[in-house]
Parts: sequence; C-alpha cells; structure tokens
Amino acid sequence: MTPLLLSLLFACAGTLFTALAALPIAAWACGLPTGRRVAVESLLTLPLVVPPTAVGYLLLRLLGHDGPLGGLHLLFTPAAAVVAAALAGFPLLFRAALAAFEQTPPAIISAAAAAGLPPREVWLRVRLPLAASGLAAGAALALARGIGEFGITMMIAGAIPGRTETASVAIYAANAAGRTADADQLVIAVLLLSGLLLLTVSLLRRGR
Amino acid sequence: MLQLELTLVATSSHGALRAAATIGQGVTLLSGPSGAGKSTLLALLAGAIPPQSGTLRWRNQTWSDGPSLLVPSHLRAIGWQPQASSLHPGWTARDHLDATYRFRPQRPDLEASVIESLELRPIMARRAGQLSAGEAQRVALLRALTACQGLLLLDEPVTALPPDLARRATELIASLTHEQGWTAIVVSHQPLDGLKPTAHLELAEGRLRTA
Repeated sequence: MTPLLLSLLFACAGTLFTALAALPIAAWACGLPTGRRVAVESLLTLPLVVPPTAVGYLLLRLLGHDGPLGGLHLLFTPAAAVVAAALAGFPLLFRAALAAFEQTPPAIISAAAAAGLPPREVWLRVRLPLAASGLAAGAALALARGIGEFGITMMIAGAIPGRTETASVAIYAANAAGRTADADQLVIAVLLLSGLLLLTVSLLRRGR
Repeated sequence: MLQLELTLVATSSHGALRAAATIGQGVTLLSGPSGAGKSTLLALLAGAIPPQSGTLRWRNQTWSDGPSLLVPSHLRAIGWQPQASSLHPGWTARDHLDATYRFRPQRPDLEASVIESLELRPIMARRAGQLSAGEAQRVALLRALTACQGLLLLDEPVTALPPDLARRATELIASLTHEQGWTAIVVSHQPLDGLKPTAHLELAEGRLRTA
C-alpha cells in the first residue's frame, strides 16, 4: 500500500479506538470534583506535550520482548502504527470531549433527569447529541494528528515499506535518500489532506 | 407531606444554606432576597445537587440522608421547572413530553388542559431552540406539570410572561395543585396574582422561616 493510504488507514483506525476510550473517560471525568478532574485531565494530556520519541520509547519498553505486554507481538506491525496514531490523537479528542460535555448547561441535564430520564437516557439522548459537534471536531483533530504522526510511529512501527511506512515517515526517508520528487509529492498530498481536515474542524466548531 | 432538614455548604457568595421545614399539601410560596439560595433549595429537593448533611423525606420515602442521594432525581415524584433555561434545544415541546412519558405515566387530560390554558398548541411542534423566552418558559412549565407525581417545584415560573398569561398560568398552577393533591413549592420574589398560597416561607441569610 502507498504511504499516504497507510497514513489514512492507521489514523482512521487509531481515531476509532481513541474515541472508544476517550468518550467514556471524558464522561466519567466531567462528573468528578474539580481538583480530581484537573488531575485526570493533566495526566491524560501528557502524550500531547511529552516528546513523541519519549512516548515511543516507553511503548517500546512496554511492548518489547521482555516488556509486560511483549506477548502481544505488536512491535513493527501495522497494529503498532495504529497504537501510535491512537495515542497521539487521544489527548486532543479527550480534551475536546470534556469541553463539549461541560459546555452543556447543567439545567438542561438536571431538568431532563427530574422529568424522569434515567442517567443512561440522559447521556444517550441529551448529553451526547448536544456535544456532537464538539465531539466531531475533536475526532477530526485527532485524525489530523494521527495522519501527521511521526515520532511514536518511527519508534514502535518502524518504516517497513508497504506495511508500516506512513506518509510522514516516507517523507523523511525520501529526503534522506535524495528522492526529492517523491518527497515533494507526498508533502503536497499531506498538506492538502491536513488542510481539508482543519477546515472540517473549523466548520464543525462554527456549527455549534 | 415533605419533610426536610438539609444543610448545604455552598461555595457561592451566600455560604451555608440550612433549611428545616415540613411542607404540606397545597401551594407554598417561597420568597427571599436574590442570592438567598431559593433556586439552590429547589435543586436540592429535585436531587440535582447533593446536600452536605441532613435528611429529606417525601411521604414515607427517604430521598436523601446525609450526603448520599438515596433516591436519584429521575425516581423522585417531582415536576421541576428550574429558573435557568432547561429545555433540550433540539427537541420540540412534544419531544419533551414523549421523553417523560417513557418513564412516567401519561397524563392526556392534564396535558390537554395545560396546552389549552397556556396557549401552547401553535408551538408544540417547534424546536425549543427557536422559542422565545416566554414560550420556552411555558413549555418548561408544561413539562414540569405533566412530569409531576406529587411534588411540584417551580422556580420563578411566570417571569417571562405578559401579565394576562402570567395570571392564567398562576391560576392553573393553583388549581392543578389543588385538584391533584400535590405539594407545590413556588419560588417567586414577588406575590403572584391568583396563586392563593396555603403557606409562605422565606429564605434569608441561609435560613428558612415562616413568613
């Protein structure tokens, strides 16, 4: 598969997994008292600020032969690239979800409960739909971050052409090997794709 | 019969709220200076916020004991109209009622008479996000009245209505409370024409007393 297609595939799968984790965690975190919520928020935002190579290194230790999760044999497989994209996008989607959930006026939520809706219904029919545009914007941002992922991917997925070599890794490799035309092509494609995603994010934010 | 002895140490400007009262059937007017905690007290009764200590009993049920909410909001026999805008902006008035009817008994007669007196028929199919403040307030009142299973909690229910409609809504609250044998607590900073309250409580400086 071409690097660009692999990037898209890994980023999509990564965003999906990250959504499955980030939404329930954000839903749980927004019910916490302020102090604990801030602590959880800071901890889960770490992958955004820690150097990707450091995150990748920690994952290497975790997923390596003698690591606690070595039995999964994930290193240098396409699955590792998905893990990299998921982890890179997590803080973005998590923070967007938390903000979107908190933006809903509390009176709407508590009045729905007082009118008989059990907590599960309040989440499914009131809180999630009212947060939808914020959630979608967060997902688009996580997707864009996944497509741009470089550091973690290099550390744990490597650059196996046709298998784990994503666009951002291929740009690095093409430039290092002096294949300027290849690099040019990929850079233009990535610019267009990322620009399109950011435009989507802005449109979704406006649609609130 | 509603028995409450609640303490809430609020983080807001009015500090601790301590309320002890026994409230019987009929309409009780709850007044007091703004910022005294009237809305907070209704939110405590509705189960939207937990008290810090004290007990809250409704008939022979204990709704809260200490900081634990024994009976969560959706299982309380309440109809609550908060002061702040509380409608789902994407739902119509009809959607609000249908959502409630999935978990509470349907009240077709009561519903029809409320829709009639509050002149809600033309806006039943309009999304709440497109309603004016006065229309939204009437829809919120309609939801509270149809959801109510015994304890009606209304927070400044008619402030956004023109005088004639406000009076009609107030009379409706009074007559329904009487007919249905409800206990109604109506928060208002001024006396309401046609409410004919059977009791009057005042909340000031964090304390609840008979006015």
